[in-house]
Amino acid sequence: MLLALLPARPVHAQENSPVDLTGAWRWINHEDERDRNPGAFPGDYRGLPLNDAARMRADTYDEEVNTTSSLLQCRPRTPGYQPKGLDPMRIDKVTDPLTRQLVAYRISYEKTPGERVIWLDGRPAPSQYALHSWDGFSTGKFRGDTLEITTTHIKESYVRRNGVATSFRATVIEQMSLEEPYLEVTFTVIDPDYLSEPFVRSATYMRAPTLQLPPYPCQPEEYQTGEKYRVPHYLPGENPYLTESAFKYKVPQEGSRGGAETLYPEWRAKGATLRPPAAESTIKPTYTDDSTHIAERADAQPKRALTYDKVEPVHVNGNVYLIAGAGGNIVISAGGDGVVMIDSGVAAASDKVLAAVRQVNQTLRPPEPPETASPFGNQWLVEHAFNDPMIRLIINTSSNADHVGGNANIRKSPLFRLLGYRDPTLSLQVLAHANVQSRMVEAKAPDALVPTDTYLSDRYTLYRFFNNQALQLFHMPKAVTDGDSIVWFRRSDVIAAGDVYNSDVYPPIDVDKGGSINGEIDALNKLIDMSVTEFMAQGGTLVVPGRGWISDAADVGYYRDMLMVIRDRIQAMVDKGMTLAQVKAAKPTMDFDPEYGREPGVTSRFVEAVYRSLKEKK
Amino acid sequence: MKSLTVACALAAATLWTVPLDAHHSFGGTYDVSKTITIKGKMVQVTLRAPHSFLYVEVPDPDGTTKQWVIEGATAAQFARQGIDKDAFKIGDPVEVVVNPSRSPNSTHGRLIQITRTTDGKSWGSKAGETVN
Repeated sequence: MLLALLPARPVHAQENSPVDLTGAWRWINHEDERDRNPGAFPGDYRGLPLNDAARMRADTYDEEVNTTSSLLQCRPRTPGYQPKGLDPMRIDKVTDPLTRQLVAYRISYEKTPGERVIWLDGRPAPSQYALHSWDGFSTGKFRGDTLEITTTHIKESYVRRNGVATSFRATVIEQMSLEEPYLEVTFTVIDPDYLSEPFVRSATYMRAPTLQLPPYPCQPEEYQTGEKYRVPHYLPGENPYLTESAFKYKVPQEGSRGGAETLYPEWRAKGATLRPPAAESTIKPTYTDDSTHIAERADAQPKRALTYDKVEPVHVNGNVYLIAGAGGNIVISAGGDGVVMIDSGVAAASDKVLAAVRQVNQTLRPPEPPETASPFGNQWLVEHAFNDPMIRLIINTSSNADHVGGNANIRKSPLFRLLGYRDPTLSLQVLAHANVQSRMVEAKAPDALVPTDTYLSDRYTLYRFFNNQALQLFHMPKAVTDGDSIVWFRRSDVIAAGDVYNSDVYPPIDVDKGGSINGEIDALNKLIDMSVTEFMAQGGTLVVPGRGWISDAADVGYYRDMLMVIRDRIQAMVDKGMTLAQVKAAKPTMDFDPEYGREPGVTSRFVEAVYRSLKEKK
Repeated sequence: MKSLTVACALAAATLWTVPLDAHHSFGGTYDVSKTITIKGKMVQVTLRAPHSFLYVEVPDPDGTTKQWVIEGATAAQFARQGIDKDAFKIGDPVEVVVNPSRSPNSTHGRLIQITRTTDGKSWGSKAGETVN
């Protein structure tokens, strides 16, 4: 009788999730109370294994930037900080509708832009050139009853709310363990740029079955009426608040400065011999650890021949794709009207670039109909659209070699078939701002590389829609050079930024070609003004950099802020009458070099360009 | 009975001072050990998440005006404390107590107390009216 009441078959646990983490969870505030309220004080780095680059960056940081920048006001927390962020969370399952197998956990926090997905199906990470997000890309695997989550592709963020940064190269490892009714989360930030050791913290959540996540309509505020955008920050050695926390909490200043050494028990003996500061004062820190030599080490790398083995197409949005790995980034729109190509990479990679264009074209085959400019073109499509791709036009964003180097090879390729007239001398072939053509002619570049068609005004709109969208070029008059263009695919809402914006390297400002730091900052402001984020400073308009990964306005905002801080530091040095050699020796970019100065010669050239453009008032 | 009332008031105050979520660090942005008082005219009220902003135009001795940006609680927290879009109107003369920004020459502040000088309506003067 009793046996008849038992289930006929056992209910199996999910193979990839031996415990069920779903439900609503409330964060328990029993740690770090002072860190939460009123919030971290400037200069309080206790318990952080930060390096000197991070320390310098935080020392010169002004938290007010979070209210002056509309891109930072609604910035969500990343996994490297989120478990310390008070937010309640809800965990749901994503299952395969056919097998009912668990594919992923979906985590929603109160103040994050969407639902974070923890993939449990073993899928590979996206391309290194893929968009970074606040949540990043997460995969999970159970070790016993503990879910271990690995997250990459995270935007730059912070580990403490006083300017201690985490780099866009950081990885976060989380372990979630269920001890009903508690969910214990241990999270570790591994940051090759700003932390000398993994930084481990923990947080506790409690099951809250009736908890409902509230809406979070975060509206950025543009309140600086009539003022130009500003980035509050302190020049090195001028932040008056760096002893405040040591004084208030009565701890030695040496401990307040943090660092891996201060995290170990051995440090207690040393700490016991030290005294808290007797009063608050302005200190002038020096920075000497390994992280301050990133640029020098990059310069010392042996010269290696560049190879272009891995040229890969990455979908950006709509019918726009990035072709990465061919020198400078190439952006194409591919569809029923053919291909328009923004920049052509280096000559040595042209064969691989053409193969990548063909690969993109394959993805346009039915059942997804290609987009075309005209509803009257259906017959034309049937006859032509799915053969080899036709490259109709090249647009160059600048005269930089890694952006124009493939012009000749692409033009002589059988795929290059022009828009408009059959006579190539009458048709658009390679379009750029007139200054690009002038600079290349001056430099005696081979004719086949030089743009054939130019524009002189501040903008240029292609005479017809291409692949069902308008194409507009905007001249950035004094950015990296005097001929830079950014190209806006209006329907796909993608901007090809050329070298005006590089996601992971300083801009190659060339003062001799008309570039300047202030023009570069103006160009980035224009780029940001043209961009609209989808929600909470993420997504929406996508910006493809000249180098690096697909970005959005928040990434460009970080880049602009970084340049403004460095500009102000070097301007102060110029005002003091320092020579270029003295400025370089002072290392005004040291705290940003781990992120942007990892290539040989880049930092030195950048500092020189900023110095010259300020000294010569360009 | 009196002790019960006091206990309830203390409990309520404790409840309200449980830190709500500051999106950025108030302690890092503002000097929470100092307060200053500004007098001027309300020119904009933006109740929003994560924090609300009040804009107050303050006359300078030289005849010009400065716009102060006063950061307050999230719209939902204000609503629980009886502050909505109709509480303070554009053009209201106000006196505002703020924690000043740490940033040099900044005209930003963290809201501590606001009073409309024409009728004495205020926020921040009662227990639990805090901005976290």
